[in-house]
Amino acid sequence: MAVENADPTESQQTWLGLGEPGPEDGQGREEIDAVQVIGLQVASEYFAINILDVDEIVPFKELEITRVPHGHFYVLGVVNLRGKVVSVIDLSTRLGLRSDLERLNRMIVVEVDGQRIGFTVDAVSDVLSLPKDAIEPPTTAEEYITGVATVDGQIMTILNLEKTLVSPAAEERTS
Amino acid sequence: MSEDLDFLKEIIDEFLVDAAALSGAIDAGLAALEREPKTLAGVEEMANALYTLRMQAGFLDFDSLTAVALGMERMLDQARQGGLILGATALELLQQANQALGQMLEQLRTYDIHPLEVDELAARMQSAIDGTLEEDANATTVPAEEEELPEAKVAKIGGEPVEEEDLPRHDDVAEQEETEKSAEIAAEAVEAPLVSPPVAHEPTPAFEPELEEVEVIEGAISEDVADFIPDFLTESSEILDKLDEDLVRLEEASDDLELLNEIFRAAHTLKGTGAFLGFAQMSDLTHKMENVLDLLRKEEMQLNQGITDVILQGVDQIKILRADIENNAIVRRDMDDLRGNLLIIAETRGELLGGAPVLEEQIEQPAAEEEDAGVVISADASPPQAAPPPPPAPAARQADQVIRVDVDRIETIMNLTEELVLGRNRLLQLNDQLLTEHGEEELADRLNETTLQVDMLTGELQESVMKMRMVPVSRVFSRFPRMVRDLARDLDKQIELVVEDNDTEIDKSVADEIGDPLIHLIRNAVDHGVETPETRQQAGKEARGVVLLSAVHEGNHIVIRICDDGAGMDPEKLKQKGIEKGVLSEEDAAPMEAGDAYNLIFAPGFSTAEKVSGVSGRGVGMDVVKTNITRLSGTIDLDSTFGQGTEITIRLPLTLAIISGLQVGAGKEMFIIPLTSVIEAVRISQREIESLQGRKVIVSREKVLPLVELDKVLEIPGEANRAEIRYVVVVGLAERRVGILVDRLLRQVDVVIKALGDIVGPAEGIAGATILGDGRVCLILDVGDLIEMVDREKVQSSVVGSKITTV
Repeated sequence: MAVENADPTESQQTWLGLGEPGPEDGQGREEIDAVQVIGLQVASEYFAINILDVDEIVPFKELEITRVPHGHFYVLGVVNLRGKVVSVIDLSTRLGLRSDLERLNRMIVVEVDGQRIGFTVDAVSDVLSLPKDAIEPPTTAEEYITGVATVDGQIMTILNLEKTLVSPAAEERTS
Repeated sequence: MSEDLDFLKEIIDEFLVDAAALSGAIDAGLAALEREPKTLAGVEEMANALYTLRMQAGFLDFDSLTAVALGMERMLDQARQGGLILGATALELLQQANQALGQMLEQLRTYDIHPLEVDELAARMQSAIDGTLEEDANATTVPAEEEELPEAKVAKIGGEPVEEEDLPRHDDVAEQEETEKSAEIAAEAVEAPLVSPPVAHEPTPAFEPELEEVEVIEGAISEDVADFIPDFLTESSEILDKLDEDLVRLEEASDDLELLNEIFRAAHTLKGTGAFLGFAQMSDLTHKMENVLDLLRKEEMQLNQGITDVILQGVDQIKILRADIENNAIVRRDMDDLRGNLLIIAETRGELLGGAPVLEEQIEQPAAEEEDAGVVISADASPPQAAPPPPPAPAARQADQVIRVDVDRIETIMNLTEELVLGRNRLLQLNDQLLTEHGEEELADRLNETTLQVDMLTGELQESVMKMRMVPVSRVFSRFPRMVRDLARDLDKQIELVVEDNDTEIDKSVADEIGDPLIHLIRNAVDHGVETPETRQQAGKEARGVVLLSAVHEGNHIVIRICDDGAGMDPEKLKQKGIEKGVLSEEDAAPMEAGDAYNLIFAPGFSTAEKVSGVSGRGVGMDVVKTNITRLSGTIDLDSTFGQGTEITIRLPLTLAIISGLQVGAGKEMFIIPLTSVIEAVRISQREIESLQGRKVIVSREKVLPLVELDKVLEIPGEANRAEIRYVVVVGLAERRVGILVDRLLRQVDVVIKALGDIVGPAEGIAGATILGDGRVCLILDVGDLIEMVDREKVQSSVVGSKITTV
């Protein structure tokens, strides 16, 4: 999995240091029963997804996205990713969070349900190691969420990618 | 009853007239043969006469006569082929047989219908044919009880054990007098267990029928054969499809020996592989089917609809077993009824069909099998001979030219080729650029040469790869004869399905998708199209309806047609229904031409079936068919003549993935219109755009052409174009024409279509996407969608009467 943080100035926007770093932290601690996640920042909320689902992370600003008419309201369009046509969803729109699309910085490409899908976020973190017992079941009945964890005082919602990206939106608003 | 008797006497009289002449010929022939056995003099005459006599006797169900005549014929045949030497014993046997014939004829003259014991005679003749006849000049007759023939006898009639003499005999003329009684007995006989005396040479199942236990290991398939399963599944699927087809054909041509052999071979193969892989149920079932088929191809049994039904049931059951294998979950299936029936058919040479439900129909009908269901005296009393090895399959020769390739591997090559095409496109672009900027340089020149070469090669590679995916359309069509047969029987109609595939080939993915729509269309033709025999005859048509399914290449397309000579459709009725269902407005209905009225049937929610039959007519069928066809970038059209028939025409593009398109610009965006839909492109001025009933139109070629304003329909952001010059790309789909209004015409392109996937949403109006030479993604328009969107506007604007809303 490639974490593309090409531009050093952008590193200020990527948020580092939250939570326990990955197994290569040098302290030789045994990380048993922990799941490796990537932290995502969308608007003022934080999410986490399993890194095993992540294919790649690309800078968003340079991407040329082709608009798709009559698509779901949260779909930004499609993009050419190394010869493949990949759909791009804006996560903040999808989850109903207000977000200034100007702040979008990264597109995460994941493989869900046999399909490659890209979705956009404001910022990403390094790989975090989340002990499984730190994950609590979700408090709401939202399908998107598989759990909640608190990392360094910050609440992170662990996303169910399948429900978030693949299942059709419950409501369809006209754009 | 007495009328029957008189009628019977008449028949016997007529028969005897012929028989006398034939008998004379047999006598003469036999005499000549005895004088010069080595030259086989007179054999020809005898054989011919015997044949004719046998045919006539068989027709009248004089089975003992038939049996003896057959035995003699067989012996003579064997002699002619050199397998039997007519020594003293054989000749004496022939004499005895001839005498028996004479005796029987004598009896008939006096209307004496007492049965003549011919079993041992028949048995000995069989031995002669087999070459196992003892060379004994005084051939002793073996008592009937010890002869042990596979004879079917009714064990009980009305619950009481019966003496042999009381059993209705097959050659009993009296039985024909008492048709009703026989039918009754037959009905009971079928239900009552049948017992036959055991045959000495093999443990014949008692006529229970006794079914041996089949050992079944339920659950997953064992590891050691797991490797063979995929091939087995593919092979068996092909075999089963072909079996369906062949069996239906066989019903029409039951004496087609080649066909019979092929069918036999198919069952044989299934049995062999099934046994090898340890599928006990499958090998047992196919073995029983094989026995039945063997009798048919050796002409020891006559095929009828009842037997075909049971064999087809066998095929269906094998499909179920195969499905279990595919699911890697072997289950013990209850097939005892079917296996029993197959056994009974084999043992009784088709006289009895067993107690399976299918037989109940038979009992009601006064079928010939009915009356014979009492007792069968088999002509062949010998042990079942080892089947001669099936002739080497002619398919073997073709097999050398074909290899099986995993679909995944082809998929890989296809993907690589697609990528190569993209690279080629980029290369061409760069090449053009280079030529423009550095055309004078020699390097540019040489690069150009090479680029053009690569271009050509890539094109050819593309084509070849496309061809790899082509499969014969007959593969899709093969299941239809059986389907039509079964359906027609269910509906009590007589329908012949004529299939003309012209060796046409289509892309595999098209083949996979076209099956369901075709099933629906053919079912429609059978269910709603073709009328019942009575209705047809009243209309002056032949009772038997014809459905024609054809496939042919026409230019860049495959054209599949389904025609029936059935009831056709009434355009007025269709219009009426259209109005009722809200698909059509009254004003539009009046001037609507028949052609357009017929195409109403593809509108969602439309169905003119008076009742929803189990077979079709649910109102969701035709529009789904159309959607599926459109998804394949094809078109579907319907034409009909009320009272005479209907013709449905489906046009599909030859290659699925790569299309030629016209790239156009609207606002700041670009789109590609598939060239197959494009009729022409015209340049217009803004003034030419008129408004008609709230819709934009232009007049083109003296016709009003509705316009699709692309920027509106696709909600293209930006200001509306006020330029003077616009372009209209006239597109057509079946009979419909619209003009797509765009700002710029760019260029013609050959592109690889990539599907968009469901993630993006409905994306109405868009068929797919492609990656241009410069790396940008360009969307490909769905002309069908656009036309529909325009129609909807029209309906809404006239029904709602308010301003146009884009949906």
